[in-house]
Amino acid sequence: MPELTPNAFSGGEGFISRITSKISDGSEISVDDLGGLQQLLSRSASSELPTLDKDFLKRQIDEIQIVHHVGMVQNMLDPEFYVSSLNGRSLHFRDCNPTSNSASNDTGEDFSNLSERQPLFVVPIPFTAGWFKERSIVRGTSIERTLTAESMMASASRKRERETEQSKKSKRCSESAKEIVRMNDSDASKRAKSLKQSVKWWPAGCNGSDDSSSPVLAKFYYDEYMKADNRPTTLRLNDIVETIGVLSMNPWEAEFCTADSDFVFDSSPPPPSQLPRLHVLAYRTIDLDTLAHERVLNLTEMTPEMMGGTLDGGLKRSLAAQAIFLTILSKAERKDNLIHRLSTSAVGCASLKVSTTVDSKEVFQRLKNILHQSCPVVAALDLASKELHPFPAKLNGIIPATSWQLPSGSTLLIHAGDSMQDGLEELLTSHQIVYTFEGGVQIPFEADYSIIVISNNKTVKCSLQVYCDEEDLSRLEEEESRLRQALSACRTVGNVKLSPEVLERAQDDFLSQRSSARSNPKARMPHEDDFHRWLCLTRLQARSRRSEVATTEDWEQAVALDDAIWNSLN
Amino acid sequence: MATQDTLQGGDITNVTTSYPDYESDTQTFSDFLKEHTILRVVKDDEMDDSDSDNDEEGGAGNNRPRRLYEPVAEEGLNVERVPCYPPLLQKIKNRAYDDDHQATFLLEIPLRELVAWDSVRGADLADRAIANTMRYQTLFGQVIDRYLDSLSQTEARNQNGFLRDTEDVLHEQRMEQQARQNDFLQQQQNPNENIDLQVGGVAAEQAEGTNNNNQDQATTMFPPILLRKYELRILPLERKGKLFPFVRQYIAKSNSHATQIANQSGVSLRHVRAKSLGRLVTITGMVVRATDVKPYCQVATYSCDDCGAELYQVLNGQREFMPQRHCPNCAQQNRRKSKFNTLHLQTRGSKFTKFQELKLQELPSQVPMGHVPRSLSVYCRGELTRLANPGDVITVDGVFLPQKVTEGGYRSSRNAGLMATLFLEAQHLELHKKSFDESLLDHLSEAESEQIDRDIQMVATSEDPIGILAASIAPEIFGHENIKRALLLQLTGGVTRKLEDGMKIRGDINICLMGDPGVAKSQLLKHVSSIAPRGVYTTGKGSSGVGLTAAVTKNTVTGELSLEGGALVLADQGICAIDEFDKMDETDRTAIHEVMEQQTVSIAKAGIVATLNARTAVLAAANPLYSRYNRSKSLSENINLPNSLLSRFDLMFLILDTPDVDKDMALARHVTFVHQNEGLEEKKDDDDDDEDNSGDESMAEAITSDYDETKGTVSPRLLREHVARARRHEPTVPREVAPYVVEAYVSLRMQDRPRRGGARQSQSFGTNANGGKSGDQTAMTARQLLSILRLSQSLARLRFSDFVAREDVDEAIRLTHMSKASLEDEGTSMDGSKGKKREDIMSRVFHIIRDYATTSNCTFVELKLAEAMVLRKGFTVQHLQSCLEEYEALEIIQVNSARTQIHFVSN
Repeated sequence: MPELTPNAFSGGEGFISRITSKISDGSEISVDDLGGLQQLLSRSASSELPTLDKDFLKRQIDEIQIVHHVGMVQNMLDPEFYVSSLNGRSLHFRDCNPTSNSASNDTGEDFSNLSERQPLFVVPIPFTAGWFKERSIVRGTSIERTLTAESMMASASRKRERETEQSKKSKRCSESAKEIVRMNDSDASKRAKSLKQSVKWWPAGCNGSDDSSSPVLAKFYYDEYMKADNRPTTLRLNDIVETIGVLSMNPWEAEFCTADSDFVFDSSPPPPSQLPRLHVLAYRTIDLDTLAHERVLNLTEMTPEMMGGTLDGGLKRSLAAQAIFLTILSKAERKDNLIHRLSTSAVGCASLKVSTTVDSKEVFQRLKNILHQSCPVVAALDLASKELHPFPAKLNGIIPATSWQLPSGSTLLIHAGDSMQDGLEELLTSHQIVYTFEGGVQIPFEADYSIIVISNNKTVKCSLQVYCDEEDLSRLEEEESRLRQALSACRTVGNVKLSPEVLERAQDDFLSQRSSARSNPKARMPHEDDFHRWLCLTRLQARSRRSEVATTEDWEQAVALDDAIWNSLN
Repeated sequence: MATQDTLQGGDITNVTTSYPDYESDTQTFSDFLKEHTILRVVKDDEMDDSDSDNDEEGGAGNNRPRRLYEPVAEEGLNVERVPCYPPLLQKIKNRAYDDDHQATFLLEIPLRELVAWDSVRGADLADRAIANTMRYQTLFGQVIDRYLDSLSQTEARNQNGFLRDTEDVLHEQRMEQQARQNDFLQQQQNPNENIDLQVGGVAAEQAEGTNNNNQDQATTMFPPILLRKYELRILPLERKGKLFPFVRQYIAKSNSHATQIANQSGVSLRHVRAKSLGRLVTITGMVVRATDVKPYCQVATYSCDDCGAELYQVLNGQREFMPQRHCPNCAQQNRRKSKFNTLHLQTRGSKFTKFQELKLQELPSQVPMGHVPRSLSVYCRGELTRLANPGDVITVDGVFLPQKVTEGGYRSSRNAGLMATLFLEAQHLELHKKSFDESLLDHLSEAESEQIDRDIQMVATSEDPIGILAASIAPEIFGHENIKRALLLQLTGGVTRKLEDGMKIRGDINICLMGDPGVAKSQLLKHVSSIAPRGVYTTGKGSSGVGLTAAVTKNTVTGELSLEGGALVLADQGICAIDEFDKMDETDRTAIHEVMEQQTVSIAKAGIVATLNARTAVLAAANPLYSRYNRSKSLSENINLPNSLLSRFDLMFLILDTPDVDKDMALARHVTFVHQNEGLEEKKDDDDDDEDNSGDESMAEAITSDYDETKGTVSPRLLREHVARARRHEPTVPREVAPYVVEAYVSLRMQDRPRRGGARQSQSFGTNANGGKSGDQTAMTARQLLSILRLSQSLARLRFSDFVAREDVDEAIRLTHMSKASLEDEGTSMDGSKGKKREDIMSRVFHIIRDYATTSNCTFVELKLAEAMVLRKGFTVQHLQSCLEEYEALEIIQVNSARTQIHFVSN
């Protein structure tokens, strides 16, 4: 396997050019090559590769160009079957255009050289907050984890360099754009057309995404990765994925199932030929919280106190502020590679209903601003307005962009008003969103979001409920600057374990409360959902301490907080 | 041997050495066709009259083929060995259609028969046919055509002699014309150069498409496919033939392939990979779209204006073709140079077949977490069309193929190398979950069928068959015995009666489950809908814009208005499980009244006036209006449903989250388990594998029993089969039982009357705004009498009886009581102050103590122990004291002087 070092990419450049020439020559990409590319990703050295974005697409692109891209898996298409070798030339990792067709005229006799690849739509991460919407989000997954003064200075100098580079780039881009206009050859005009088309499907800044990023049709060669014996997990919908791949832009090479094909249905399938295509050589999934934390580290120097993450002083005086902080701190805690069906509750995820006596729209707006300053991905939906927010549905091959399709770890702020949209209940209680597919088939998908709903409607049920007034919001706004750091630090903590002592104590408390409520009809009878909430709050208490193990003190604090909220509501 | 000569001289011998030996395969299949025999079960009437005509045999009258072997008796069955294909082929030759409207024969080639015929040659051929099915389908077709050519018609069917249809007549004329043309050409040219204009033989084979280079071009060579009267289907090894001659086929248990028949459910689309291309695969999925059935041109026939020649263009599986304009015959004869537009398509001379395209999508259970369901086009031709509709779950055997690139020039080269459009050329299609009428046994091997029979026998003769079956409904849900019994009766259903005056009395039993959230209502609903062959689970809001009943929708493509059935219509003759029944739309709420009694949906919208059948049993679940059941309010206030709707339910159960130490412990353990294991639910025995069989592993394992005696439960498969068999009975109420039912009903009415009077007096507690007690919604009316009859019939069915017994009526009344009791016990306050309520509590407390004494076989119970037990069940010490006083006064029990032991006097 080639030795690569992140700081000395000179060897890496040679490696990339070797891969490029191999693809160009039609040589087989070896297992070692794929392993080396995977290593590039894991060492974050991929940031030195050109990033596939709209600026890059305006430039003159080499025939075989290896690029780097980050985005969210927005849609999955049916697998493609392709001829993997022809006349001794490998046709993996590229759109092929052989002059003769050996297999198409046969009645299924020789399909031995056919392989399969999985095309996925990878779009810019939606609803990214301003501070997070830096173009180099993954470049920020950088190398400097130790917070020394030198590293900070180096970071600043790199930033300046990047800015200079960007200004140069933009200059180059404007020149190349002019050049494209001047170009008369059909390839260029087709490419320009394709870019125009892709704009229709995922316009710049669609769903609050970075407007300079570009959506791609990424083709994953799972069978090839398996050969390399590094078996990254199969991607799932809404995963954030970082990829290195071969860019393919010639629309003629992929126009295979557009509307003018002989398909009898009224299909208008996604425009695979009208998007940049990326033949993925290596990929890895990225956790949104890790990304955000590294971004925060890049932006500010954090003190150990900040790293501690707790905001005891400011927030403890306000129940609503505390509840909001804990809600946005919540994240789904699942076992890795869990392939079982969805359980009825997403452990660790919380939803909060905020009732208010002041103007709910104003609360919505102010909370939106606060969340945008502290969370990396915030989707703010005003359901009280007449704007429609349909749940995701795949029809004719396309899942139209909706506000509900977010990566795991996002924050969802909903102004529900007095209405209760269909399907919202399932989202709030089970953290699931039902996607509709053809034939009315409905499949629930994980919606591991922190959800805050502003509503006075009694039928809106969340795991937590709190009253919020002017003072609470002011308290949050005061802490706004520290909230981001605290959140980013606490959310990177792994799954919180509940020790047997805590669980035993929790069981005893639950049973005793049930028992006492039985003898005293006026007492509050705790039910299953209450017990879930207490345990969830216990996890959040532990997480707010940046601890991976919850203690009985966390349990006590959780129950006390819940009681306080209950009393405030009554 | 003429056939063989032709075979040897055919084009298929000219294959390169890299391909399989098609000549040998042709010979093998030819031998199979002639030699293969199958065992067939003989009916009793056939035994008596073995020489009589039998249309099914294909042979007719005196010309009927003789049986090759003497009958073989095996396990009490009368089995005979008969030739497999010759009778059918003779039937085809004779044009002996079973139905006047049917214009085609179906010829199945189950590959397992090839293996059964010859375990070496046949098995090899079967393997090759699986790997390259389309090629071998063509090859088998050629062999069959030649075999048919070698036969002569043996049956005169009409006055004109042999039965001929229009194609035959047309073909004869063609032959004559071509013969004349040949003569003419021979006069003009050297006869040796006129090979291409031969009819049949070698030329015919070439015309059929084995010569790929010229297949898109029109030729004068006559293609035999034009006159083919049969549809050829190759079935995978795991599937046995369904049609003649396999209708009554007997498969010996010793046959190792018999066990493989169980593996009929296909794999998911996800498992069909690149290596499956060109192969015969079996896939299970849901049809999400189906096109109209359209004519598909198999052979386009042209006539030339100039030379008068008839030309044929064979279109092998092409979705589109370019009609020919240039006559090659004219060009060959150099009459004119490249004259165009002389050819005209002759639709009457062409061959069309029915064509339908289905879009198959993975079932939700087949889709891994976080993935999107995949879909695939299925091409159905001929008699495979119109079998499946959108929404049907099907298993389809077919050949996984790429859509061939037919265009020339730029586009052809552009698309080469990438075959994105793939499809499945259907060979056989089977629908799932149609109704209880379809027995499971059709899909099982003999050994499995016998095991099922034994299991059903064991359950039916056990002490409490209904208890066992009821416990098998959602076994992971603890308790709710009466509710599960009611659900079992709903699955079985009563008998629908249609009176002479046209009036219909429904047999379907409607059940409503009400109560607090989180008491497993939804799980019960989902489980029942999964057991029912036609079960639909939906929420009150409906899963689509159609809602629960029906709606007029506009087709986005054609713009036509069409009627689309909702969940209740889709669940016709099944069970419709409606969760969140209280939250349904207003339009559905008004329409559902009709559905629940008349079992129809009437719609009059956008010029469409229609009545759709909705003969479905409704299983509803409703949540309290404000999260929790409010004991101080009436049932209809709590559930937010009108009394008129509630009265249409045969049984209603209120399930409340009441404190009970045992249940609380179980709940606490469950919640902590979930949190300890990060959302992973406790493992449940979900062995309902009806739809989810995603693996491609062999199922030929040891056959195990579906009845677990230790747990006292049966598998969903056995439960479904038991219910299916029970539903075949149509029990009636015998004369001697009728007075008993009447008496029981009258006594129930009498019981109801004073209680309602009492309720009027006690307005101060447990009453609603209407002045009625919550029990008003379950007042004994004529509807309840019908309910009792339905429940009794259902119980009789479960006993496999055609008559309702007194015990059935007793059990039906008990269940009705329990349904009412669940509403009354929980619906009123638990203070136990007065009246029947107090009586119920006393008797329940007493039963707790007595049950303990009975099970521990003691004549006394320690008072402390009794106190603990009573407290665990949610009663107070005061309840226990009152109970002891009351039963002591009745001299049923006696408490010792130290007040430490309770003695049972009667014991």
